[in-house]
Amino acid sequence: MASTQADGRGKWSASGRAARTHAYALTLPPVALHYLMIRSTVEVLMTGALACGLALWLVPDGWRLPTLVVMAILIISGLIVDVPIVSRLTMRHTSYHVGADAVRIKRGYLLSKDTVLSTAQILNVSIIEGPLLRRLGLAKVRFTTLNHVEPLGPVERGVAVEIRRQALSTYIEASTGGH
Amino acid sequence: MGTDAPQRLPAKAMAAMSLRGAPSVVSLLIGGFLYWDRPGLWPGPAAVYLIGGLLILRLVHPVYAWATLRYAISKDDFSLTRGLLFRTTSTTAWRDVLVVDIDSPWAFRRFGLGVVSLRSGGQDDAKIDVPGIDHADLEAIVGLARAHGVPGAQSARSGSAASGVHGTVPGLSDTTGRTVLYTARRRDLAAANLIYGHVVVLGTGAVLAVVDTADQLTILDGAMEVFGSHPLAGSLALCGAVLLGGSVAAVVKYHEFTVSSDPAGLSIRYGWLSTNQRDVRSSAVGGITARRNLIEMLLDRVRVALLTTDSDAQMGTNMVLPSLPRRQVTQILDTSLPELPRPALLKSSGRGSVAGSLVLFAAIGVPALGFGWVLHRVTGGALVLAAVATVALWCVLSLVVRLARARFSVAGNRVGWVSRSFVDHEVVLAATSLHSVSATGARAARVSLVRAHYFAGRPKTLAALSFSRAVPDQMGRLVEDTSPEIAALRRHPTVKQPTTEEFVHP
Repeated sequence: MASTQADGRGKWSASGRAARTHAYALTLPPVALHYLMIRSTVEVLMTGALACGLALWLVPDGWRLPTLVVMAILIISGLIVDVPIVSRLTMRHTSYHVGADAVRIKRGYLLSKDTVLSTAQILNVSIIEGPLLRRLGLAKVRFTTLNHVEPLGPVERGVAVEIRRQALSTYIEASTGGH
Repeated sequence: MGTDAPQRLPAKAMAAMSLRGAPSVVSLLIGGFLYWDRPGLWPGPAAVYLIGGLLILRLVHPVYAWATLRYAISKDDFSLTRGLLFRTTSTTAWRDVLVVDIDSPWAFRRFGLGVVSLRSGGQDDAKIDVPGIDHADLEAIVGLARAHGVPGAQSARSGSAASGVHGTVPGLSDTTGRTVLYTARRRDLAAANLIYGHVVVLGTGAVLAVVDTADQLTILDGAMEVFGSHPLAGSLALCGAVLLGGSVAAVVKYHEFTVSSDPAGLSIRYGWLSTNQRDVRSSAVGGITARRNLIEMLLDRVRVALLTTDSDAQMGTNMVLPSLPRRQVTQILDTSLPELPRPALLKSSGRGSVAGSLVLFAAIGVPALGFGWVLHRVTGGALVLAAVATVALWCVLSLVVRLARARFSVAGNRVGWVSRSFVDHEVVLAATSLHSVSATGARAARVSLVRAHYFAGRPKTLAALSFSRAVPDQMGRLVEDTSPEIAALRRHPTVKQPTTEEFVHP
């Protein structure tokens, strides 16, 4: 990774400290936008189909058509807003930095959340690959501590493996005495 | 001294467990007799069979527990096997044991037995309980645990000599070689429990037990008639019974509450009917909490408790100093526990917070009561609904006020969290206890909601508003800077894997 030194520790001192109040150096890859858009589309359509099914089942006859029209408007709005706009904002406003001592993740446009995890407190790092992610050469990373699970991604598969190696490097060094 | 080979509990453990269950056996017998004598009582004659079944279970359980339990003590770890059809073996390495709880219930004390709990984490799965263990093995367990860093190694070695104080279990009453920080007097205990409400819980329990017994003895109706004809006297008598019962129960439960320390950590001991000793290794202490409620603000008293890896509970678990005058708390901490951080609550008098506390109390209570009153009028007298809505709104507003009044601060390698609302509450955490920190806020605004995650018996989160970026930045830097220190403390697990033979009883 560009932000990794030879000894496995992140380059913190200058760029890292400055980055805390802004975005971090690493962002999601461009291909992640395809994944986010496809996922959003599937989610909106599945939710819409479920809602329409429930409407057809539960809503009285006289109200069925107006309800379905409202549902259709909501689904189209979702496809217009969520798929191209929210996915791009998610993509643009997610940044991260993984070092030997801490994992930093910043995400969100209107509400921005900046998370710092101690790598020494991370119990495991999971790499998740679904069919769509695998087809796009992507993977999601999940950091688990005793009381918190923090997801990251999607990122390229090779980057995910490197993130895992770096996030666990502090523990591996400590438990093997650096060998 | 135990050996590596799995062994049974001593046979007298069966007698001790049976004796401990004797009160419930007597209750079941009385209940069974009543249902047998009066078959018309709800739920009918079937209750006799139900009680009979429970009675058999209660009588058989000590024998079953004794017959199916094996334990093995080695120099590296402790193993416990339980069960008959489904056998479970739990093993914990001595170096992973962070807290040792030793109980000496009245029934076990008569037989010179104790109950020991070895805790290596916060979950129940990370705890091994051994009921009815004898002097020699308890001494070996305490000695091995303490030799690996749990406090009081000296007292473990001199445990036999000290066991005479209560005539009980070695190490339980022993503070030799340790600094006694605080021993509560009876009036301190009664006052402390009165101040923070334990007395109501304990006293209500005692009164309910008396009522239940009176009901079983069929004298409740007569008593209710007497109280019903004198409602004021009856109410006063009930309040007095709750207060008296609670005070007596508190004094019995926390009898001789003593806190002592040695270089390895702290020991907390208390109890009359059931004596408990809790040894906490220094490395298990992740922080300290200080609290004061409205009464304590008026009396300028503070309660101090530890936050340990296995628990964040207070009285009976991690309470170091029960409600005491603020200056006395400061003096004890300064002279005896210099390594623990000093809560900021100790620097200011509680009386200064009283006015603000009352204002906030009113600011929450008036809208909640007003909402309940409006709801009561609108719904045409639905009293329960209005009461539930009032309590719910009060809870929500309380949370909002506590969050709005909470602030984080960073000093050295510690993170402080203070919330001054209608109660003052402060937590000081070592940076090494922090797992993660997050700050959430609007991009343009400087205000953010800061959350710090840590573990004290269960996942815990502290939250506060921050009006500058500096505090979350400092906390994030602290998380990052202490990471190598935490990693250095971690190592490969040392617990050996149980062999096939260890799952099979000899």
